[in-house]
Amino acid sequence: MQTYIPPDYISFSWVLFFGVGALAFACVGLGVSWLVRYKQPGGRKYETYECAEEPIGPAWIRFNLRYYYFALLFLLFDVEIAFFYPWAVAFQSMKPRFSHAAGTIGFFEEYNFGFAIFGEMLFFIFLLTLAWAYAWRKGYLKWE
Amino acid sequence: MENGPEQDRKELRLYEAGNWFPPLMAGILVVTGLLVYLNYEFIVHHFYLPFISTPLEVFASTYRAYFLLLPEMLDLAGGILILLMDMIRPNKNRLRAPLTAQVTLILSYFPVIFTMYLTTRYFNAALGQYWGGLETIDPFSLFLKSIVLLTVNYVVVIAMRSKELPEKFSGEFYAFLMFAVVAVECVVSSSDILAIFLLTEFVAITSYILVGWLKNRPTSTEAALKYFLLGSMSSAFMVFGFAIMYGLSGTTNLYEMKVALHEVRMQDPSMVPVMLLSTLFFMVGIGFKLAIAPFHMYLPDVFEGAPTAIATFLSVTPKLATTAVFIRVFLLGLSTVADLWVPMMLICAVLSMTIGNLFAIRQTNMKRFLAFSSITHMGYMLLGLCAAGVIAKTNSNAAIQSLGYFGMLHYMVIYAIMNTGIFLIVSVVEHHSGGSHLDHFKGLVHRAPPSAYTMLVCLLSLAGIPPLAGFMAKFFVMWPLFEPNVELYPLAIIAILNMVVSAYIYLRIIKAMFLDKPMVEERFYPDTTYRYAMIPPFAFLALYLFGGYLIRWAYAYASSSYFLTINIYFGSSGPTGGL
Amino acid sequence: MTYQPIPVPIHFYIYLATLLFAIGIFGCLSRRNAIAILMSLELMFNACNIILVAFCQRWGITFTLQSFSRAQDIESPVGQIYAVFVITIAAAEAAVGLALVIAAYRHYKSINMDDINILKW
Repeated sequence: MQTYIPPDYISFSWVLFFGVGALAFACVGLGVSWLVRYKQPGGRKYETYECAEEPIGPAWIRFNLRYYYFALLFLLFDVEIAFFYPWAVAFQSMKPRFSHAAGTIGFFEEYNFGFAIFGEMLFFIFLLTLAWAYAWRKGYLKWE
Repeated sequence: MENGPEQDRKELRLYEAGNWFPPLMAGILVVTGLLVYLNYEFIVHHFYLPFISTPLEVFASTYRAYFLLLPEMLDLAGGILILLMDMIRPNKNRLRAPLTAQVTLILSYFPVIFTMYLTTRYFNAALGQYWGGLETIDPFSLFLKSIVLLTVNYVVVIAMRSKELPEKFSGEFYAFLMFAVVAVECVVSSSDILAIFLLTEFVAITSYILVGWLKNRPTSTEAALKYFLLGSMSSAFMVFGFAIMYGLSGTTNLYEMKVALHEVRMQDPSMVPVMLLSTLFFMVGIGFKLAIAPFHMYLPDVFEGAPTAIATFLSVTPKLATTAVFIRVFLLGLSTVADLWVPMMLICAVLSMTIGNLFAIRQTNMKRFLAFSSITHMGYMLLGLCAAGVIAKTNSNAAIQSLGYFGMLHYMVIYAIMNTGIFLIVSVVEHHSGGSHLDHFKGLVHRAPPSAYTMLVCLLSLAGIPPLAGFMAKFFVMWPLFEPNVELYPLAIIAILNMVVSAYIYLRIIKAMFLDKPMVEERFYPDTTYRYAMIPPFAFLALYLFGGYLIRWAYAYASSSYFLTINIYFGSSGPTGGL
Repeated sequence: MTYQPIPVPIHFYIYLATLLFAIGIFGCLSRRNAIAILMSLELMFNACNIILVAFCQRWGITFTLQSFSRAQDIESPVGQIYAVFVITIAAAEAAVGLALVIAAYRHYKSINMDDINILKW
């Protein structure tokens, strides 16, 4: 049995297939609906929402700065949570194990970093909570 | 029950009054209790039994890494404490916050000095790589840590008396300052490009915030914005360089990278341009952080716009950290490819010295002048690195033991202390005459003689006039250029020419202080804090001139043979290998 | 003859990352709008992430004694972890940068970098 190792451009070609497929999906959907649908331009067709709230002004307005605070707080937790995944993966292999084997001094005989890792993550969460409590105390969560 | 307006108002009042603390505490207690109850066995087996069954020395050696980070932890705790104080009683921390900061800084000297003592007596007691090689504890880093703490003490003194800092956010200000100090302390001992990137960015981001602290002053905001945009662009360059270095060597640890890069180069010489590229990118990023010449544009604007305390901070503390990064990366990680970066370093050194001096001649704002002066001094400091790099071309281990390395470190320390002294006087003058223009310094000797004489000593020292410490600094940074296997004579000639020019630019300030007529004749008396703070520059000078034993010990301690050049892994004697 | 799928070769990633980085530099240097410069910065950081993750795959198994663990033969996650840190730093920088842009807008009524020019030589 002979193993076929394709050249670079072929092994990379599935990316091209994905691209072409995505383009085709969009084009076919839009094209078919363009062929099938009734065409009645004008009137309510040009409103933002055809069957909901009446828009009360243009969308190009200045937004309240409060959104920025909320976005910032969201960013704080959203990005920091990313550190939990590698931590969890590492913790699986290094979680605390208690050794009862004879001849061991105790817990530290094995190469366990369980304490350290667990404690550090607790500290990390404490810092996050501190930031959040700080924002709360300073009134950035209020919408005035 | 009807939900009328009365009810609404009551709820609103409850919400407005900030009565969130008791329910929050109750909630935390309940959750904690529940967790303990559900995991009782787990907690006992993993958090209690090990503690009582482990001998103390085993415990200590296992958690040695934490003990060695004690100074950083103390400062971090100080920052958090200030933040908590600010949460509990906001707007009442005008004095409490700086005092807390000062106390934690002074407390964190003790572990540093204790570790120094320990490592002097029992050499390999605590030296080595910790945190998986992220941090290296060696005399070099401990020495720089103590200098960093000293300079930050000054910064806190200046900030405490400053009129320009608003009272409202003083707690946050010192908290940010403490966090920046924690990062700087970690940078000086980091030996991994991951830690270096992360921590230098930490310092940079806190610096952006602190530079833009005066929201009501347009220049402050503008300086912060410029600093931010250029700074993050440079850090993108730095991380790109690091990424390629990682790709070439397959490791982020500088000790391993030193070997790996050499092997790659031996096996595949076609990789040399890639190495050159990554070094260049790194150089752009870190050169910006140190503000050496082609990347110095932002520094005068930042110094002018920032509060004086923060200008002091930026002129000294992050520069010490960045010098440590220069030494670690160039003389350790990239020492086997020294011939690639030495030409770039030469160009940067020459440009820094020349451009700094030429632009400083016409400055009338004292802070801008000091910014250009610091660019010049960074150029001088790089002379030592160039000399060490030339030695590293032939023997990569000898670079750390060379005179260039020693001169560089020596220069940095003396520059730090003298520059802090000058900034202290600048802040005194700003405090009493409301500005830092050169006109405010005219006739200073008639208005405040002690300040004027302190300034005179510090300026002459920076200019490198013979009996003073600055002369010794320049001497030791020039000497390696004349060594037999270095022989960078053109560089030495350019440096000497620049020293002549820099004598002129400092004498211009001295002339304004001592010969010109003051704008206002009124005398002023700096308050007690300042008078105490003026002591250390003089004390340092006196020690340096007369009682050099202590200083000599310090340099001997921090230099050559105690920098960890080989891949020492002392921790393997302990159960967890120093974590 | 069986088909053996091999990973995408590493230089493809490097081309992509370099292109993104170049676009980022061009954006930083040519745009005058502060927000646009911020976006270009994000592009530069993400280019670095691509390189890091690609090289992490490249160096996967070769791992040494003292990095992150004493365990031998563990797959090195260092490039990916580096990328996570870079993402975090980029997010923090974006937050600080936006705040600074807002503060600058209050004074200058513009976020065009040409208009923010009080400080000069």
